[in-house]
Amino acid sequence: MNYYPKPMSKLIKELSKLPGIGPKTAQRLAFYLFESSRDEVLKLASAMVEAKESLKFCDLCGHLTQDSPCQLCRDQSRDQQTLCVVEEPKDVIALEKTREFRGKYHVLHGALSPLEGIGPEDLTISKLLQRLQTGEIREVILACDPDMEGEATALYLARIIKPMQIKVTRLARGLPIGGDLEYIDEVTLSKAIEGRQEI
Amino acid sequence: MYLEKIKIRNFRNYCTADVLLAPHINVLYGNNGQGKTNFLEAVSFLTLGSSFRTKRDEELLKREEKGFYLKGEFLDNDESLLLEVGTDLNRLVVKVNGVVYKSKRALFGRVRTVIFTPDDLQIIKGGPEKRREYLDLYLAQAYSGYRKVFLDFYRALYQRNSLLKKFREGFRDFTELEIWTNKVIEEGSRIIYYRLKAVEEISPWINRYHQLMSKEKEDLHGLYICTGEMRPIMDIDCIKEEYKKAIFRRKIEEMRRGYTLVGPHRDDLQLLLNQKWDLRVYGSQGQQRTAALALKLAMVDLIKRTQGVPPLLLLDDVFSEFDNERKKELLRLLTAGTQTIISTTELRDFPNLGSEFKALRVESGVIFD
Repeated sequence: MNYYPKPMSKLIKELSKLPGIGPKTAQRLAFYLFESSRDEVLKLASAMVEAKESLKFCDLCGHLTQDSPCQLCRDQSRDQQTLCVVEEPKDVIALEKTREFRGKYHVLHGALSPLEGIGPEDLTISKLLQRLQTGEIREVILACDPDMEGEATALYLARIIKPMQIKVTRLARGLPIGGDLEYIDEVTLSKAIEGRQEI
Repeated sequence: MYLEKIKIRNFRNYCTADVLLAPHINVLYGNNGQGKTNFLEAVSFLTLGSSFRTKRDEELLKREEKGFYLKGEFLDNDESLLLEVGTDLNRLVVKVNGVVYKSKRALFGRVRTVIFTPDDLQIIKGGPEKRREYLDLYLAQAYSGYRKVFLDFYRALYQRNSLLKKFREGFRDFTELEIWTNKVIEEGSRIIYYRLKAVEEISPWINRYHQLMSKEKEDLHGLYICTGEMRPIMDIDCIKEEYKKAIFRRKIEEMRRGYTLVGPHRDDLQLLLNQKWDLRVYGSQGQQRTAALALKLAMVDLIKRTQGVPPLLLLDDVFSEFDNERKKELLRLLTAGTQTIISTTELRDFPNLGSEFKALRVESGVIFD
C-alpha cells in the first residue's frame, strides 16, 4: 500500500538504501527535505554529485582524494621511509587525527576473507609490492583491524614482505586509555600481558 | 544462583504462568502432554538462549498468539539477576537486569544449566556430532574462554574451507592457505586441549554415576578421539605440533576434496565399557540410558568445580525408564545443594517430600502450587 505521491515514496525509498537509515528515518528526512528551501536542497544534491564526481582513489596509496597522487603522497615533508598499511580510507583519517604518524600510507580496500571471495588479488597488494620494490621504504607498519580477517591479512603481508629485507611491524594490542582494568575482556587483557613493557 | 521466580506468557501451551520455585528440588508432576517439558524448555531458553527442542522461535509460540515473553528472577546470596526474553517473531527483545541486548546470545552463560531429556540417548547412540555438541554446550559453560575459542575456530575453519574449495577449482596461493591453516591449528588446538582436559576430569565421575545407577557393574570411561592419527597429548604446544603434522599428511586430499579433514570438528568422544567395549555397540539399552544421564551429572560436577557454584539442573522424565532401586539411587544423588527441576508422571516416585522438595502440579498449561 503506498500512501505517498510517487516522487515522495521514491525519495523515501532512495534514502532508506543508505546505511543506518531505516524506513522511519527515511520518512523524516524526506519530509525535512520537502520543507527545506529549494536552495538548501540544491546545495545538498550538488554536494553529493560533486563528491561523487570529483573524488577518486589515489593511484599510489589508494586513499580517497580529489587529485591523484593525493596530498599525503605528495607531501615531501613526511617520512618517506615508513609505510603504514590499512584496510580502509577511514583508517587513514583515524591515524592522521592522532598526529603521531608522519609516514606514508597504503590502503588495501578490504581484508582477506575467502568466505566472501576476497583473495589477495582483490586487494591492492600487487600495487603495494610495486611501491616496496623501489627500495625507498625501510619499515612497513601493518595496521589492519584486530579481527580474524585483519590478522590473517597482516600475517599474509608479513610473509611476502619480510623476504624483501624490509622491517615489518604491526600495531600493539592492549589496554584502551581511560579504561577500567576490571571491565576489559580476557583476550585483550592477555594480549596486554603478553606485550607488557618495562618502565 | 537459583531460579526464584519465572513468568511465562504465551509460550508453548502456557498462556500465563507465574511460578515460585524452591532453591532445592522442584518436582513437576502431571499426565503426559500437560506442559511439563514445555516448562523446562522455558527455563532453559532463558538461561541458554536457545531451546533444546527446536531452532525456530515460532514453534515456541502458543497457538494463535503473536508473541511470547519469559522472565526469570535468579538469586545468589544478596545478588539478584533478571533475565528477560520476548519476541513477536519480527523483533526480539533480550534484557539482562533491565539492560537491552541485541541477541539471545547475551543470555548464555549467566546461569549455567545442565539439562537431561529422554532424547539424550542420542548422545550415546547417535553420530559423533551429538557427542561434540554435548561437550561444546557444557564446556562453554564450564570454561569461560571456551565459547570464544569455539567461535573463532569455526570462523577460521569456514575461511579455510572456502579457500580449499577454490583450490579444488585449480586456484593456488599457498601462502594464503598457510595463513588460514595456522589459524585453524591455533584455535583448533585450544579446543582439543580444553576437551582433553575436561574428558579426563569427568571420566571418573561418569564412571561413578554409572556404577551407582546401572545394574551391570561394568566400568565406564570416556576417551577423547582425535581425527587424523593425532596423538592426544595434554599439552597445548604438543597438540599444535600434532595437529600441524596431521593436517600436513592430509594436505593433498584436502585440496582435492575442498574442505578441512582433520580437527576438533571431526573428533569424537568414545565411551568404553571395561576399558574396551564401545558402549554404543555393546551396551545394553539400560546401560546406554544410565550412561546418558551419567554424562550430564558429571557436567554438573565439572561446572561446580570450575565455576565454584552448582549449575541449574533440569531433568525431564528421567524416572520413566528406571526401576525402584535405581530411582532411589538417583534421588540420593540429587539432594546435594543443586537446584533441580524434575518432571515426572508419578508423584509416588518421591516418597518422602520433605522441606527440600517442592511439588508443582501441571495440568493443561496451568501450574498449581
